[in-house]
Amino acid sequence: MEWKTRVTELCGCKYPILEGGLSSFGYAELAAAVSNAGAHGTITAGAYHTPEELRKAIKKYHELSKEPFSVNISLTHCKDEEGMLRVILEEDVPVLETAVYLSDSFGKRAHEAGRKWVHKVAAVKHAIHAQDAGADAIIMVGLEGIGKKNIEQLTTMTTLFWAKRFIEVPLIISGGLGDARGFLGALAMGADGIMMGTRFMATRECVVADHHKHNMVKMSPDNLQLKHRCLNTPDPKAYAELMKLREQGMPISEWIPKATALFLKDDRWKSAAYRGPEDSGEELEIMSTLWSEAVAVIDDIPTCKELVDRIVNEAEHMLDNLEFIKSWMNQKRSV
Amino acid sequence: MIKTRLCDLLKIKYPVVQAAMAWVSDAEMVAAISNAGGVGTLGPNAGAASITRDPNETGERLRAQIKKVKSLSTKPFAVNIVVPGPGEEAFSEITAKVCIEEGVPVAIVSQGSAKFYAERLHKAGIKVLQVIGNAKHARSAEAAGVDAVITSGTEGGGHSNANLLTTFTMVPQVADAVKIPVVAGGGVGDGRGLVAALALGADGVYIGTRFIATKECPVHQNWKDFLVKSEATDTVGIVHGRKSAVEVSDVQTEMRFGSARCLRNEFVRQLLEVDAREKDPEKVMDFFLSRPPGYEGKEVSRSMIPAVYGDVVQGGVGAGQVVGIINDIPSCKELIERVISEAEDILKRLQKVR
Repeated sequence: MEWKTRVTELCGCKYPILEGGLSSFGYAELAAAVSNAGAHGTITAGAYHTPEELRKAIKKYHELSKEPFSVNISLTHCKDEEGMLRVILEEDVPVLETAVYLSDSFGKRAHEAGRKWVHKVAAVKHAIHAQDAGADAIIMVGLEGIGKKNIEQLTTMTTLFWAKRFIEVPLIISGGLGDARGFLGALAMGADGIMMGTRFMATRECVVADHHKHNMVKMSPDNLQLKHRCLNTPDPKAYAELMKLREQGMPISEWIPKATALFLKDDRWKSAAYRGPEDSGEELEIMSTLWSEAVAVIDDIPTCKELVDRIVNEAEHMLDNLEFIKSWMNQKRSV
Repeated sequence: MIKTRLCDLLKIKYPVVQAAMAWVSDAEMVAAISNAGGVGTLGPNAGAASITRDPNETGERLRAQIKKVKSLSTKPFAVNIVVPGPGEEAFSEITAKVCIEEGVPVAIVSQGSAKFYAERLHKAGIKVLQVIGNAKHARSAEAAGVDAVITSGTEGGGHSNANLLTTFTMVPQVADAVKIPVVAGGGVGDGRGLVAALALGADGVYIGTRFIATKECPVHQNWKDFLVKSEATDTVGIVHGRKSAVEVSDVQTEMRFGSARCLRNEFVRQLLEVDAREKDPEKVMDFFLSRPPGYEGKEVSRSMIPAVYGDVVQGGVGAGQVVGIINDIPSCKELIERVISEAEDILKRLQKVR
């Protein structure tokens, strides 16, 4: 069955589920598999080394899928962002997804080229800024997510109702989501759609090596390293020093990588690789720096289609069988 | 089905449990919540305006509150039993004893395992709920015979964040780990939170902060006003003395120091300053236990003065991130009915999404 929210209308997908940007693994093949499953795939520009490589990837996507998709540019993290944007606007890319830093000019140029523009943030004040700058939708990342972090960060649940107070454009929530329960819970809280990153990494089509995917299945959300990275606040003294650098006029392109490293407690994710055939302890430790608290609900390695079908079917089943609601309403009527 | 499980278990109309909160509750508030169809909970120091160091007096104060609830309501209500830290054993013991003697319907055991109490409480016909912080705790609680577990997401106010896990990832995992009902706490304060909690796999909700901003709540008006004007980003998870939640695995240290989410104020500013300067958990604990200026000759604590004296500057003002959606001070009945009617509207909306 097709679902209809403001996000499915905006992005042209069957279900209001988006693939998150996956640093070095967000390739066209995975995005196409996600889109063909009825969700909305995302090619991560930063996964490619040059704009021409990105162009090839976009062409590859069109060979594999006829469905609309996004290309993500994480500003200050992606190489040659200007060149990447040029390729995106030259090619047939329906949605530009920007992330991290002020992307007003990128959004404006996407709009001028007749494309949709969606911006991803970790703090509600940045969401308000992007809405004012004309973003067609906002993606909010809750504390449970990995990657986008902010001192003001609220959890997926509370950032959602806090954002709803200010955001009128469609709102997509991300951070630790991976099953029908989180999907329906997010929609109940007022989201127009969800974004999943880590969950799509543990699918058959993702290029991440199998032994890493198996480790994702085994990983507990209680893992100390994972909790420390995702959920703990940064060291207050180091944070104060970081803010001082900003006040002293450090260029934003230098400052943001420092801030990211502080919020994620280190910057080892930069060297994460998927090709290692051996499961060395060090490699696992580095790979696990890419995972969010979504490991709580990752119990297998399905295909993208199996995953999306399962989430949608279970959510529909829950809506069809809300016996707690039925009895509740009956009870209410009889009172 | 999900809803009726908790409702059947506790014999209540709505799956809404008022969270146990120190210095916050009294018999009137608890009766108002239970009469409205939820479960009111007498927390530590319920109805009290002064500190007592005498376990017997603690017991008699509680007994008087329980009798008063019974005179105001015939509906089920709960009493909180805090698992003792070092030196607190007598207070927990007398609380359990009074619960059994008075035959309270429900006991909520928090900050530790219910295994020392479950059997005795069950023998007296009392339903036992335990507040837990992860799936492992939930399995232990189930093994100890607890009737339902309460998840304590880090969004929540007070002693909610020891394990850092959040409502959206903890509830599904706990729901998978145990067969007994799960009550979701942390970040819940309206109909959205209720439906989300049920969708995530819970059988009911555990609401704390939102119930402080009600007409019947006995805390000083200053605390309620502070909640109404605060934003979701105004809370902070403080540790009274330890480095960080993930670095502590020793239960005794956990009990000795502990952590809490509260609103940023002068007290929090000073505590964080002591922490940054001294880097010594004992020094931070000394500050936490210190008597604030202006209370010479009075026996007070940082967690008591916001409720009793309205001192929201020098006191630890417990609150969860849910403060962001608190904009008024309704009666407990109005609040519960609003939560339920919002939830019903959301369910109708969700049916139209697909």
